[in-house]
Amino acid sequence: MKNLMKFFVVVLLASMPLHADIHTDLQTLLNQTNTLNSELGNFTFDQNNSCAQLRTLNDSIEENTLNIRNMIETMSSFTVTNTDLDVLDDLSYLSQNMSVESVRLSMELNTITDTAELFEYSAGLNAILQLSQDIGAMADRILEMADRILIMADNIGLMADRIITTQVLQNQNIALTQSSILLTQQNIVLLSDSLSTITYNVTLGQIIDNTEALSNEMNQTNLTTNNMQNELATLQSQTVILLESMTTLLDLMVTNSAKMSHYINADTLTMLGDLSGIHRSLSASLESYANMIEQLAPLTDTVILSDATSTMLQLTKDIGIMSDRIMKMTNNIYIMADNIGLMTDKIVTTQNIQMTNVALTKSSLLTSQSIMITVIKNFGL
Amino acid sequence: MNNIFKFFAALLFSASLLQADLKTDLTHINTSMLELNSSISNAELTSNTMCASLISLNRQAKDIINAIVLVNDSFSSPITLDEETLLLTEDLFVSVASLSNQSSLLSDEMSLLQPDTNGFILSDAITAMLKLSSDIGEMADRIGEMADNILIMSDNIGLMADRILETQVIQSENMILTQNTVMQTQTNTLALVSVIETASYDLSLDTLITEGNILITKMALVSLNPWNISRELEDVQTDVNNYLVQVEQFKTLLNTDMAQNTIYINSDTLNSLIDLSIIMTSIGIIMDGYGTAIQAAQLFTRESTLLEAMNSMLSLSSDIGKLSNNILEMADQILLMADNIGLAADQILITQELQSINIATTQVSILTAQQLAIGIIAASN
Repeated sequence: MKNLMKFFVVVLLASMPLHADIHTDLQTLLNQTNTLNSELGNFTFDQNNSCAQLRTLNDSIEENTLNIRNMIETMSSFTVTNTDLDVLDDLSYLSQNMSVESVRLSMELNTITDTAELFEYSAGLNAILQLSQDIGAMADRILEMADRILIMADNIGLMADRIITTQVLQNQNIALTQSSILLTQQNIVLLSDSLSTITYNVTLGQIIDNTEALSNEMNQTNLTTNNMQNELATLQSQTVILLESMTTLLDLMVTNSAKMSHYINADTLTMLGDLSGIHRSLSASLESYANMIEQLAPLTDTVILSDATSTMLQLTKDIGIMSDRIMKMTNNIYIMADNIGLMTDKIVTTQNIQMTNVALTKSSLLTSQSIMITVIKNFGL
Repeated sequence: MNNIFKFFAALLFSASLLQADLKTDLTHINTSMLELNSSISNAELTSNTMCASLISLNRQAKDIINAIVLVNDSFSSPITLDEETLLLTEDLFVSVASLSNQSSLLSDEMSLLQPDTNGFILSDAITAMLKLSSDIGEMADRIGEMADNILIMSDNIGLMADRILETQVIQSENMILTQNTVMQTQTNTLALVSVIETASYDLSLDTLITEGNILITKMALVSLNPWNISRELEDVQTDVNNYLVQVEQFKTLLNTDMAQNTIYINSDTLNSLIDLSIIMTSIGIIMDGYGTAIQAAQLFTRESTLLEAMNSMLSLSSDIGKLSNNILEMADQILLMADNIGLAADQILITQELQSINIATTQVSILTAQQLAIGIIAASN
């Protein structure tokens, strides 16, 4: 009998600290979650350090969720109290409140989309998606903890009404939490617009045709002491028109890539690679012109020569700008591409082609400029 | 005569002012470039957060480009070239080459951090890094344009020809260096892009759907009566628990893959996620049926059997709750890591909405089952 009493005392003592531990753990968890809720409530999206701050907050929420998970996994049988159930209710309210905060943040992002570039607020979009996911996971773990307490509590019968109240509350709050998270995600998805680069292909095709036509004309043009001024002026006016059409297309790409990601169509990259090749021909023709002008210079009227060298300098500048625009177009397309991972090889190949062509183009342009500068110097233009 | 003299004096004065402005602008631009260089060298990237530093660098780079564009747009009257202007121009070419080198070092730092960095953080950093190197490339282009503009607008090319040719050599060397380094940085950064197509999970998801449908069939075939209620519910609980283990294994695989990769969503995956949530709704409906059967059998069942059955019912509810949570969390994780949110926006929205409705319905069934079990346990006490 004495031994039996001892046994019961031991069991009682063993269960008391266990109960106290769970109770304390729940209180600690509530305090931590309260702090997180306040931090989230005070967080406002601006353009400076937001993504780093939000990342820290996400880490804290993830840590909190991990604590709840550990509590679930190590929970043993215990006697549930009203205070424990109050804590569960509060936790459920807090997670629901935090999910509402995530909706607020997703709407706040709308306010910076006008001023920030896509890649900047894209980091914000990702951070908020991560936040809503973390809050959702935390709410799930709280619900699972409530379910686990239901299984592990040894006094369900006595606390039935109170437990049912908690379960109903949990259910209502998780439904509200999930609907807030859904709303957050919907806001983010709606902010994530995408455009296929195939829409640029027609204009790009026309630019290629026109550049090829200009290149052919340059190849067929023979400069003489009499015609160099007029021929170069004609080519320059054609180049200006071409440059304008390229600038218009680039502006469209810049505008689009400020608000939308791009889905890369392989043909677009191929066309941009081809275009850089045609520019290489343009600059090679220009270099030939420069050499020709240098040869014809002693026989050419000074006024004609002066105009020709000026036009040549303008032509080298315009072709240089066009060449730069091609690289810029490619960059604009792939930096925020939806399928960057799938197109990596194609992007690198295109860049290699463009780099080689642009380097040769620039080299020819620089040679042309140098020759013109020497002509200007030698003939006192 | 006096007026003509005044006019030329005014013209000369305004030209000299313009020249002074250009030198000031060139000096300011170079100072900003040196500051950016220092910022890149001091930028702290960690495996926890990279976005804030990179976004700040990008803003600095963008401001410099805007300043150069402003100068490029302001050339309206002839310039008299001097040693100082050419020296300042050369400095810009040297600075941009140095910037490209510094950004290359930063991308190396990012590559070193890759193994410990979450795919979600890395994805933002890759975009920002590509943008930074692209901006430095554009900066170089704009500086080249500025040099061309200075050349075209200068009225003493002949006199300064030798010095201009020297500048052009420095320009050429630094431009080649800049372009090669920018290209190398972009290629290195692109190599960090790692993407998984969700299509690779379709087989696993199909298996989960098949197993889920088998579970539904087994659960639907169970007919509860006072004699089998405890045993049958225990069996069902074991089956649901086994299914939960399979779902959790898949979720673990998904989380492991996404630790270092982003995702390219295909429509089949989203449809599979909807199917999984429909399975959960079916399980919820069957649970409702169990509830009705238990209520009918309650009066004719032994109390101890009923209590055992209710314990199984609580565990069963808990596992179904976990299943629902896991399915929602998998969808959230896929959304978070997706590269092509914009492209798949419509289908993502439909999937999220359907999942949310289905899981909410399931949770109501779980609550009803829990309320029934708690009520019976309370009545037994």
